[in-house]
Amino acid sequence: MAATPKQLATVYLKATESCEEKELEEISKQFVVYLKEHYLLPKTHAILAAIDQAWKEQYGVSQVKITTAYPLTKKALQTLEKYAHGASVETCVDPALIGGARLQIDDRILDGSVQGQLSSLKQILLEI
Amino acid sequence: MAKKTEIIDALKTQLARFSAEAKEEQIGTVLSVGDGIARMSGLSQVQSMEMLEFPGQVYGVAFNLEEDSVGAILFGDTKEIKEGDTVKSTGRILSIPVCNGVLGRVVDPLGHPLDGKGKIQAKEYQPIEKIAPGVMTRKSVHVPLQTGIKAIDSMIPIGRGQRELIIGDRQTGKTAIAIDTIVNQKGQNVKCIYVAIGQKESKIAKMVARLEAAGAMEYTTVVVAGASDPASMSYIAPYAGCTIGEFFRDKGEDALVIYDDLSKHAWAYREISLLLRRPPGREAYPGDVFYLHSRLLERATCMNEENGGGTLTALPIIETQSGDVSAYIPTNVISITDGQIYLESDLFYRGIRPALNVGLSVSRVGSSAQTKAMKKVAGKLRLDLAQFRELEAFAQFATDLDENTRKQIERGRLTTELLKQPQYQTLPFEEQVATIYAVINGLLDTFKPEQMHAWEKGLYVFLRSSSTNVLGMIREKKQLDEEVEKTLKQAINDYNEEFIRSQS
Repeated sequence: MAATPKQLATVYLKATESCEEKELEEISKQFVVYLKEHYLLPKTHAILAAIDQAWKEQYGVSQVKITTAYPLTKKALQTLEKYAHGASVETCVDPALIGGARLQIDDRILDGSVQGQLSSLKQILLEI
Repeated sequence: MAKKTEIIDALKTQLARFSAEAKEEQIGTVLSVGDGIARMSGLSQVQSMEMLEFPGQVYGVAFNLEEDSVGAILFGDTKEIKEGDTVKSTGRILSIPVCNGVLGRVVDPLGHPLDGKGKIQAKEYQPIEKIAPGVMTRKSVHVPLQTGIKAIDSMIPIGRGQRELIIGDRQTGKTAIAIDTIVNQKGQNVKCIYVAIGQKESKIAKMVARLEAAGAMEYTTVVVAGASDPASMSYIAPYAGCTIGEFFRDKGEDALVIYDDLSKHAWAYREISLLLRRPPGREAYPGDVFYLHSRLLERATCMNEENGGGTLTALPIIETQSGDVSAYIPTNVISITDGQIYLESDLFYRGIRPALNVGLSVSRVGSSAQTKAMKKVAGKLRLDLAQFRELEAFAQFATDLDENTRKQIERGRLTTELLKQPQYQTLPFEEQVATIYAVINGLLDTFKPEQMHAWEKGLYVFLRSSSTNVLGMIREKKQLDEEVEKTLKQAINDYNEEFIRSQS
């Protein structure tokens, strides 16, 4: 019986868990060879999506993006890394925010920026 | 000075609602947009029919929930939305404002005013899609809804809480019947909602002016999804109208909602479904097009006393293509409703207006709501007309007819003539009873069909000013007992003598 994308993704994640970069490359190579031998390459898309899903299940989050008006301090970044363990963290500087930060975690957003507050204030004032 | 403080106070109360806290929101990213629909990724927790906020204050509704994408219909200008834009979920199911203030207003299906009379001040928002009340909360139809049209009130009576379909080709007077019905609800304590789906704005403007002139806008709301609005607006319009009607029904009042028309609604739904790649079925409509209309019309009900006793009557309109009632949508809606009023262009051009086909029109539940007086005269009227139709077809071939047949045909012609009624001239039921009583009892057999128009016009003037107050008696007693019948007969005979004198 052929393995489902979900099974493959779980196996891949387990194998690569807590391993070094070099090892990771080797395992990944073997994984792709396995896929080729078993004619599973056309399913790559589904497998990638399943890896993303499995990652989310294991760590809770996969993508974290933080946008701030000024560059983040080292300490703040470290704290963020600590809370968002296992996720890929992206930082972004956008002066249009004026102040505060906007945190995006997968498909949820936490808007603590001055710009966001101003726009919600505008909305309230327009509701007459 | 007072104004200044007022403005400051108003601003203060508004600002009180503002809090600077960061709140968590769910977002998605637009993958593709076009033709009034958008596909998005993300939004993993979104509910079906939840409102979505697009950039530029454009709203949409989540419609297709798939494994890794969400399909939404958009209400408004889609030009500003582009791929990669962020979409916020609002956590609100699509709802519209409902309050007494919607009466007299022209609104779009989202409850935004279109008449420039300011915002609708509503405390309450209600979802546009609701499950219809269950069996135990209902009661059978028992109060009549007078349309003011003789042919309908006598032979195809409508009760409050009924669903009566108005079906016919274009230009047969479907909307005219609906408008007349609204106008006739003046003083009857029935709130009316007219839902215009995909109609020309000029036609709607004309109609609103007409209702205003008749003083009917006071108790009427017009919900407009115009021809230039996106299909999504046409799709939600009847549900929005129904929600407004349900607001009055749930308060224990009587409401009437007119969907003009549901063929265009089905087209709009077909357009949306095909764009969202739902599989097409018969006539390219999606598989759930029956449910589309059944769930809407099921919401028209007559509630029992424990549940307020309110009613919501629905008059859906369907436009047929060259008289084809066996097409998909007409058969569906015929089977859902409690009867239909069938209009024909042939009759319309022959001058029989309303162009009612008496043979094919039925009302399955309305007769139990009819007043006793009307029931008494209507039974014979129906029979007379049915016999007349049969004989008329037969008499085309025969030259010599016996006395009886000839008389019956003559009376049939008189009846047909009397059932004609111009638009915007609705009649109270007691006047209808008087007219029909006269013709079915042979009191008019000496007259010619051409005289009927003048006769009828004079009759109402005569009866209204009559010292016997026979109209008031019928109105109060709601039945033709011996005494009333005797007075009515006498009054008509008196009038006939006067009429003959005036004719010669």
